[in-house]
Amino acid sequence: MRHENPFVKAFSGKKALIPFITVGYPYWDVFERLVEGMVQAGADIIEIGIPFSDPLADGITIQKSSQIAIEHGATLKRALKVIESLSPKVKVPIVIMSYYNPILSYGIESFVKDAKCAGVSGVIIPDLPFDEREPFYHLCKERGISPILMITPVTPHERLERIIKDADGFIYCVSLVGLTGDSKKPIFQWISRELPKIREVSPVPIVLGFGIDSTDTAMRVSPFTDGIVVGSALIKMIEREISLSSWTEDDLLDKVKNFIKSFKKSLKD
Amino acid sequence: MVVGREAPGYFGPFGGRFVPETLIPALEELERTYLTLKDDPSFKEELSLILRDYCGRPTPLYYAERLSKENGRAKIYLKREDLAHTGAHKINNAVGQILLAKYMGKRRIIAETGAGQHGVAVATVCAKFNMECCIYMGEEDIKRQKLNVYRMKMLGAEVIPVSSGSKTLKDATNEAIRDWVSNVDTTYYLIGSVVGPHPYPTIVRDFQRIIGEETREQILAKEGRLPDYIIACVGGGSNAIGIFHPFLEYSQVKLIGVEAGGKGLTSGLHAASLNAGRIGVLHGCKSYVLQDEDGQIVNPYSISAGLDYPGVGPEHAFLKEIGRATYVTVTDEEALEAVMILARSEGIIAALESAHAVAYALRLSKTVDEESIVIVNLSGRGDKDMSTLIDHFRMGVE
Repeated sequence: MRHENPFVKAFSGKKALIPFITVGYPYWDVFERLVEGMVQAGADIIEIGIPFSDPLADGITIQKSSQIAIEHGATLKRALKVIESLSPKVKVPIVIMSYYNPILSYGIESFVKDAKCAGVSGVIIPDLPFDEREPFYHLCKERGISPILMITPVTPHERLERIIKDADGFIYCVSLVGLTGDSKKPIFQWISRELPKIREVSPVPIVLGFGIDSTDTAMRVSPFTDGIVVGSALIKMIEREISLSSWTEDDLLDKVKNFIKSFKKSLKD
Repeated sequence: MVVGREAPGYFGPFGGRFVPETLIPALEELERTYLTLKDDPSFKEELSLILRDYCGRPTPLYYAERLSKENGRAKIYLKREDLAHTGAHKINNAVGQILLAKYMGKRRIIAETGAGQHGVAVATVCAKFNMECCIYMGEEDIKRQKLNVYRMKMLGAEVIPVSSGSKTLKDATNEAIRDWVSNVDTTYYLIGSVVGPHPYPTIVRDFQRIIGEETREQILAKEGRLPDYIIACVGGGSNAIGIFHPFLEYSQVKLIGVEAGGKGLTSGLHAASLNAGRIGVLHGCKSYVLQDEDGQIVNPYSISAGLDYPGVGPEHAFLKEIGRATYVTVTDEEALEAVMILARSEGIIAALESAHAVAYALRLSKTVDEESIVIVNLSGRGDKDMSTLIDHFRMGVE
């Protein structure tokens, strides 16, 4: 790995916990406090979702949080501003999850420049697969932003090898055949059989995401992975909290911190 | 004229395969199957028999004499796709793709639908081939195209209402793609237009090319020459690419795609992706897309559910860019007026989608030379639009 790799610390001697939260969710002022709180509670990388009106890879939970964020004025521009103010404070890598259209619309050159300035370490674009890596992923790499490639349980072996060879930062392994927050569980059989082999040949860490809905699930997949992404479960918890008329920011912050701590604990093997 | 691609799956800079990684192997399998079958004699034979005996092809090319003489100078011919089984050109593609699904051993078919014409076509072929059928349809479209919802149900399909976004075709497409991501191993996604990730825009175009191939033979037989203009409505653009494609090499034939101008381009209420959109990525391909300055997709608007889509097939984007086809707009009002003119002069009630093409032909006919030949792709019939039409013309039965 390169010396300046921002992800080294996140994975060294531990399994990385990567919470996902939609930018500006549930409200702009709370959002920044939540991100800082998650890092204090042990998050190793923060994945921030930039909402898109038509999120094809997302289940209903993240569809809803995206919709709410858009209604609250979330744009890529505003997201990068918030990340710029967050990144010096949180001291863990921040990766962006978005879809390709908002980035294309922003302009890929400008995006890469502004994202780098804001302190973004990586990008996850579910509708920009390996085959469409030119020109955007190439440009990201050139400017020191890791394009995080995805693999899935249905990715053929030969394709997997090509993706791994091109990987940068870490690899995002989708744990099931479906959407984010899918209620079908991760395919444990595939994970336990294939991930050890993949990790052996991969030059970068492998992170599991999609459908990791509880600490139990996290605990079960933990031995086979270098880290996990928890998105829909976190958003659902926040959604539940703020639906109570009595919710306060401080309470929510505590709940989110405890959520992170319990998932962090489940990753100890 | 070079009408080629720079990279597989691309039409110039447009097209591609912008989908979640989970779908890539399925798209590759589909591409392999299609490339193997498309020139296979027994596949071609099976397809052409169904098109002839089941769909009623070839559809006629009809000289609309009164329409022509009363409205301008051109001789207007109608390519009668409205006479194909199920009442629109959509059946051509549904038949072709259901055969691909059969060869791939998939038993569950999903599709999106806007006006319901594609949904009906898919439900029809699923009945014929004994396959499970789920159709995603926006709630708004379910309301305005009730007749087609009844037809789909009658044919044994499950119609799944989609309540997200604008509750129209865009959102139905999102849900169909999400279903496919979740059930990719058992399910065939039978996309209804020349949109989506590669290889769909090519496959759907190839199955719709028959419209143009027949048209070419028919007009040569009737007039001894190629037409001056071919006009077709463009939502996703399948009927247009189907009739345009065999004529691309004849540069004297002017190709005109008609987008839904809704309440006018300046009103913001339209579905004119090529005329008022910017290049973007939607539903798996790069093309012109209606979007705001932040890259969020804008809800389109058209009185015609089949044109109410914020994207457009990548090959149309390419034809626009190289100048081989031009793309214009027609408003709701003009389309409605055209339905009435055509009904009263020829006894043909056109679908609101196709009426956009008719309306432009009427506009054009006032400016062209005497004896110009204009062919309009009458892509579907208007039965499904009766409630919209009756509301508009206030012809209710008291």
